[in-house]
Amino acid sequence: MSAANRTIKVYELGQTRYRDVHLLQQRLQEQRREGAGVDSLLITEHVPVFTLGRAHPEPKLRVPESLVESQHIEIVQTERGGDITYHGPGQLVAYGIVDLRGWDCSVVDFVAGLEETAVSVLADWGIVGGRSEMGRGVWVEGRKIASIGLNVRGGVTMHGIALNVDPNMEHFQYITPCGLDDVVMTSLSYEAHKPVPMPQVIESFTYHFRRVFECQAEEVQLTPHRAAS
Amino acid sequence: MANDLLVPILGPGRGEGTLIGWYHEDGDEVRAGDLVCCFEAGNVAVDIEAPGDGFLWHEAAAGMPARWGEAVGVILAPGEVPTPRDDAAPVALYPAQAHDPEAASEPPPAAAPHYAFEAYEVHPVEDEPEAAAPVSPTELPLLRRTHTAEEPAALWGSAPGDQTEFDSPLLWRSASEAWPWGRDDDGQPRRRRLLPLGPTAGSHDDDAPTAASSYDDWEDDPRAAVSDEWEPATPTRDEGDEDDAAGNTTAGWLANAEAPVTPTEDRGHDAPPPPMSWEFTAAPAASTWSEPAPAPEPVFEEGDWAVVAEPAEWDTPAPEAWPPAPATAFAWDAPAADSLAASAPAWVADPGPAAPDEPGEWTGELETIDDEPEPAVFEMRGDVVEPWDDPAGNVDPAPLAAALPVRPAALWLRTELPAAGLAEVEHRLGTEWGAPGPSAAVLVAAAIARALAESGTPGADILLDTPGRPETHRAILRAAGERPMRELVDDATSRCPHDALFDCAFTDFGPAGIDEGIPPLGEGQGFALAAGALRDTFALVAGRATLAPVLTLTLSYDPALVSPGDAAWFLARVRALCEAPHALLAA
Repeated sequence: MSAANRTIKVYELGQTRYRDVHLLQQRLQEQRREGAGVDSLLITEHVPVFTLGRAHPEPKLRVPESLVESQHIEIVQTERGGDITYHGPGQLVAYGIVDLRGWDCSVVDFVAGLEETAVSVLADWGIVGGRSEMGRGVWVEGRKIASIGLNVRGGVTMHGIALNVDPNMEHFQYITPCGLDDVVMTSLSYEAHKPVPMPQVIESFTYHFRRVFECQAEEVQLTPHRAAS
Repeated sequence: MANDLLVPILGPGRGEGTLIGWYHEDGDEVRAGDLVCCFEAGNVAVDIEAPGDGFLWHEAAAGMPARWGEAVGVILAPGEVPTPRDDAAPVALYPAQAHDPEAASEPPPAAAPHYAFEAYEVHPVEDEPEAAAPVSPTELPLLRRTHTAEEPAALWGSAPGDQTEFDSPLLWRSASEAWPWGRDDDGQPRRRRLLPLGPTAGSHDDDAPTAASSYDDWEDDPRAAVSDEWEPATPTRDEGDEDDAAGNTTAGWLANAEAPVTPTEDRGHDAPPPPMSWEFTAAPAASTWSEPAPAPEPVFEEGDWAVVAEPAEWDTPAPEAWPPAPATAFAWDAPAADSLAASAPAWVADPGPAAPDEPGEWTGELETIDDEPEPAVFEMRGDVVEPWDDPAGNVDPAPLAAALPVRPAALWLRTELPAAGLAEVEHRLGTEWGAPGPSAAVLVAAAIARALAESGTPGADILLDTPGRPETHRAILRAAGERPMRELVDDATSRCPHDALFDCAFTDFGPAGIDEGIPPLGEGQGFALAAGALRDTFALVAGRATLAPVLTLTLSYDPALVSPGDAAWFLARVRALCEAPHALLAA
């Protein structure tokens, strides 16, 4: 299949609860496994939540769980790979529900493409990001700025990448991000030394996603739904 | 026909992952498309579907390493039995031995098939059934027993009729947490025959299960004989165990059990083993994992997401409740919080530039600087522009758009840097070296050449285009690695043909400069760097407002030819070199 036949619908969901989008992902993935539906890219910000990888059901918290509860931070078990991570406002989260067989794309290439997309987004703000031996994701001078966790079922991906734009970095101190004890998390605004508007980051991410994966994208703006609420 | 469950490619450059677990228990009937197991590598969890209908046969346990191409299980058709594998992978199946130097010194089960039966004597059953008839799942274990002749080793014991359990420490570790094969009607871990373990003396203590009732049907354990650490305890079995000709005994193994062991009937070695109907008669169909509840409506139509995206659901928690007040009762990590605050961006904590020493002199101008939200005048900026954003309209995007599958777009990055050092060096070059022309442009070109050399593109040509004095300053610099500054200056001042091919266009428009515009890209050109004029601008230097020469660098590039990450690195490197022209000269 040529790259020209790759199409994807980009949904900008605005700020969402993790469980809602998790359920939405499960539905879309099941839909794609059955050969129906379309490939989708869900772009959202979550209300604060800690998510756990499949192989690490025990949350690696550095603080008492009561503190996490007092902050109204949920802990959700997921089916993705990787360890515990944090999602919250100010963090761009992109979930790709993509039939890799239809895209003629391997899991390896898909992960590398997500990383390349994040690296390109950083470059738009003059930040030099890259990969690291410390783990998957995107790093800036040894500091982790984007995390990746995927689930592949029947050749259809689920979950994706989380890019720290300007989240509450204190919440990362509550956990051992990605299970790495000495990891230092950073954000786009911190590295750029200035506030970075989320809409520009979303625009940049969508653009580079299309460019990296050579796909046609149809953007669906859902934020009015959230605004109406 | 048996369908192997093979390990897929699990990660870039990482052929090895981990078998996270099984969705179905050993012996369960599965259908094509059912999820059977899950691997993980590099933050990617890959679920494997059953390639066909049949009965699932585990060949590896959760937590074991999995390498690409290996089989971790098989889907057997009714009546089918697993066949030994020639493509043995003992390392993958014996992780404890692979990492234990003592165990590694033991004779490895070389050339062992997946089941590694060679570690034990082969005692085929004499009376082998002629043909395999279709059986129900409940009869499957018995069928396996009756086909021991087809299996090349004594799966069932050291002597005909013996019933021997083989379990690895890894399996017992699983048993202590989440027994991967479920439990029987009495709630006890269901045992299975899998992965006979080689002699690993003394490695069982941490892995021995505590539920003695799981050994109800225990008989001879070939590992017990090589264990020096387990002291025999009060025999709770029949005496036949101690009379085992092979010297094997389970007494030591059983001694580690906390609960008393229920004696079983003494069958003797000659008596046929009882049918193991306990194994699969009550096999639960549920997965061993607590999967998320299935969607309430299994039929999906495009646009279903709108149901999920009900405003009422998006709206929790209430906006006014967010962000919640920070907890103050618990000082979770005061040093970390301090360090976090200390490392916060300057624009967060810095209220603004310090008051100048002579406020009366700069009042009007400084107000403008103070109104800036952050001292971004020196910071790198970037933005996404529409394809071929060319204000001058010099570039026709049609040729490239037709040639590439995705329409190329020119992106640009811009940075402003204090160029006091650059101006100083320019002055010195003009006075001391007698170098003619816009030497600052030559310095920037030298920085470009150095950055290109560092990026591993030593063959790149740089067109130094200064239209003010074309005969003198139109030159080509070849970035061929570390070169003396004087040589670069000489190159820059030498004449060259105008139509030379180039990889990088450095354009300096002299006094006009390109401070706001974007340098257009030519067809097939990777990037173009434009330098503005050295302008005296109010800027913040060391936290103080002052007049300083500022240089604007704007890099436009084609992301189809140059990765954005490389472009950002290149511009940052050029800027760093321009900020330290003395170092550039000294190199």
